[in-house]
Amino acid sequence: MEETSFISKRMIEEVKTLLEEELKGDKKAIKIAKNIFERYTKGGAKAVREYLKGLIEEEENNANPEGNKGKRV
Amino acid sequence: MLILREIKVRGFKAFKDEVWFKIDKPIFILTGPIGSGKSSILDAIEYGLYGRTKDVRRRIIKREDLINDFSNKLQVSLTLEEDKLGSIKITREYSRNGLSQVILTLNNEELKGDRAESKIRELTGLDVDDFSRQVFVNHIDLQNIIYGSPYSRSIVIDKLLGIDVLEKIFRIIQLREINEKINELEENIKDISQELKNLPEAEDLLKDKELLDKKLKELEAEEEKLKRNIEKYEQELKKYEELKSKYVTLKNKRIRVETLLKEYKSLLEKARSQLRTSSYIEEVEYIRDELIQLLENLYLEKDAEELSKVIIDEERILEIIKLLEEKLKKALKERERLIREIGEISAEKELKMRRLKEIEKEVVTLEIKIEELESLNKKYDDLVNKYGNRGSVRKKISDLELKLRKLEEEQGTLSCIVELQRGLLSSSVLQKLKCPVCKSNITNTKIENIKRLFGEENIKLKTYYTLKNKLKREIKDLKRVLEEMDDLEKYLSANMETKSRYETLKEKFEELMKDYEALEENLKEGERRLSEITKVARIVNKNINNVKNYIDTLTLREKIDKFEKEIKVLDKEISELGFEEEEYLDLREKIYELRTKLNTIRLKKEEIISKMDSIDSDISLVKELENERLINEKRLKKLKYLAETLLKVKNTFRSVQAVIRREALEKIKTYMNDAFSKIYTYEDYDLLDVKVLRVKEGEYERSIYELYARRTIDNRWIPIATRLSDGQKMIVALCLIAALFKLYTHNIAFLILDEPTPNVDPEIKKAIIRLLSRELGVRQIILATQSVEAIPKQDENIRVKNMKELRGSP
Repeated sequence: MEETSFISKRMIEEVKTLLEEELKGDKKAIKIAKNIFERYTKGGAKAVREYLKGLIEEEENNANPEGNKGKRV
Repeated sequence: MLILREIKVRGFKAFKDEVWFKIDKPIFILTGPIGSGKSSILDAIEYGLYGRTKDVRRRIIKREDLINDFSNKLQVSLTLEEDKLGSIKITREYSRNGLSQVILTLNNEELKGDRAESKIRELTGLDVDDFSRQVFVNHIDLQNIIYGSPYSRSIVIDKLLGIDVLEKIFRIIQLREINEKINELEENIKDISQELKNLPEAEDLLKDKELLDKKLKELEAEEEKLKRNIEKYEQELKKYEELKSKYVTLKNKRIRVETLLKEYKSLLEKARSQLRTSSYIEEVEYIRDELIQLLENLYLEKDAEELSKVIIDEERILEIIKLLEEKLKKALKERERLIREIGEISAEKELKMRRLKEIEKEVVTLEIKIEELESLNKKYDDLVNKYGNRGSVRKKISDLELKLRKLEEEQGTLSCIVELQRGLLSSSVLQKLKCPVCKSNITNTKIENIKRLFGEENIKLKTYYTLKNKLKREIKDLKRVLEEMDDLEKYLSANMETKSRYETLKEKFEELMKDYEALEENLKEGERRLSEITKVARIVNKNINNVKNYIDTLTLREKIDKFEKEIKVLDKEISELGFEEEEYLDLREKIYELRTKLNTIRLKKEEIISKMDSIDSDISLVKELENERLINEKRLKKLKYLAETLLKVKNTFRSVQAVIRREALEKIKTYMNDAFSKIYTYEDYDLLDVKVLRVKEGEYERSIYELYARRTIDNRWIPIATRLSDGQKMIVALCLIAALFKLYTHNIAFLILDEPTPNVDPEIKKAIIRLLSRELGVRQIILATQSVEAIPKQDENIRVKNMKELRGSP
């Protein structure tokens, strides 16, 4: 069983603040970073992996909103 | 600031019954052997404050596992004291059916549920996670800091700093999947581009399609034109088709009549060609003459004469032919007779021939026999010449037999004598006998003389034998000669007539031969005549038939005339019908040609349509591929951007981790040195430091913490892990714990240490505890340890509680 890390609220807030500072206004990156962090604190590594997978799929689908016809792989 | 005053536990972990105790000294030490419940009490403090323990948070155990095996619910009650607020009581209950309750009593006010939880966090200033890092120090973590490898030490310190999470997140963010997809898309785009390269341009395809469309329309126009023409010709053909049936009937009739006409004409011509003369009257005359000759040959002069008087007349021609046939029949009859005669002659000839052969055979046999007889006669004459006649031979035999008998008698006597002599000489009697003459013994000389005399006798006897055998042979030869002569005499006299027989037969043979030759001559003559007659008869018969045949065919002329007329009528009818066969066939030919052209046009059209379909398909494929490439390019762009962002995010987690670490370590170093200066009273080391090194670990770099102490003698920074003693290490570790306790601001003034001094000797342990109590700057320390030896006995700040004492206590 994967050991769940303990993250205090203080730490959560601090990390979020620092992420914003470090990513310097890159809204998309900030959003992704926060989402990853939140998902990790709530659901662990599995939740993060699922989020990343969904993110890739979302980007792919955004490229062709009519349907997934383009890709022949 | 909060300190603990009272703990009450029931149905919690090791405690079925209620356990209650006060904490009335700054250092409260729980002692007892393994399994005595020390750690359960420490866990109860954490549970009382936050409703969870480390093991539950880590999912090592479930929450219900905190309930004692013999209880249905657990109850933990903590009494705390705050400088300003005074006494605070927290009571928690949790039962096996999942019901839980928390009550916070503060200033006679009770708070329950979330409000209670919220208030507790507010009072403590820490949530459960920070509490486990700063207040409740795990002995495993402590050991890892002291004795662990750089890697495990670093993990623990990261965990205590709360930044291990950031390392984990950094590692979880994997770009492999997205990079694979990017590569896949790039490959795909490359493939599509290559595929598009191999296909014609969409514009070219459209041009080709336009050209084909134009051609198709031209063909369609041509097709229409052809259809119209075909329709026109088919209407014309229809008219002909209506007349065609009648025309065919007439035409077939004409063909039948024409066929018959030709056949009859051919028969007539054939009959005519079989006549040898130009007119059939002449032919009949010719036949009559031939028949006369035939009759004469058959010695039928009367008939021949009768025929010669017949005058050939056209009107009586059939009668004359009948007469000719009668005469021919008669001639043939006569011919039959001639055949029979010839047959008879032939049979007689055969008979004679057989007879001749028999006689010839007998003559040959007789000639051989005569020759043999002559030979035997000569042999007989030779025997007579040699031995005399048979009478003489008989007499010689008789004389020789007499002589033999006489000789046999003499030989018998002599044989008797010789046998007697042999008996005498062969025994020893002779030596014993006395001589009958001189009465004396017979001497050897006498014996030798006697033997010699006997030898002479013996020789004489042998001569007799020889003579006797000779006589016997002579008698035997003569008897054989006599016998042979008798046989010859007998045989020769028996064949005395052979020669005369031979002569008679020879004469007869010659006579028969003459007859045979005469017959053969007759036969040849007969056969020659027969052949000639037959030949003429056949010719006459054939010619009579030919004439008759010709006369028969004369009736066909009428029929031929009739057919000719009929053909003329039919020709007229056909002509009046107005059916032009040639025109009709031309029309059909034209329609056929037009239809063929139409089919060709249709095939061309199909071909063009197929090509157009193929072009359409290519156009659609090109468009599809272009669209696909466009979409995939968009996708690639988005994914690349995402990959870049994710990489940035990933690295940012590391950056954040580094920032937090840097800030925390700055504080920790100060707090550690502060604690170290108070605890460590020796002069060999004066300062501590924590350095962070970047070490490659697999595909990543990670931070490794190294603790150093400055040696006063040379001011060098010495690695604690390799140079310091266990006691010194323990002190450094406790300084680190103290620093962590102070790292973040909170309201808790007690520190919980679970077995903080393992593997160190009791004296050092004692010193550590003393130092902790005096110098660490913590108002209250709750400590669990197995050994009691290390506890200073007379320290007023220390209260030691043996776990055995707690059992059952109120």
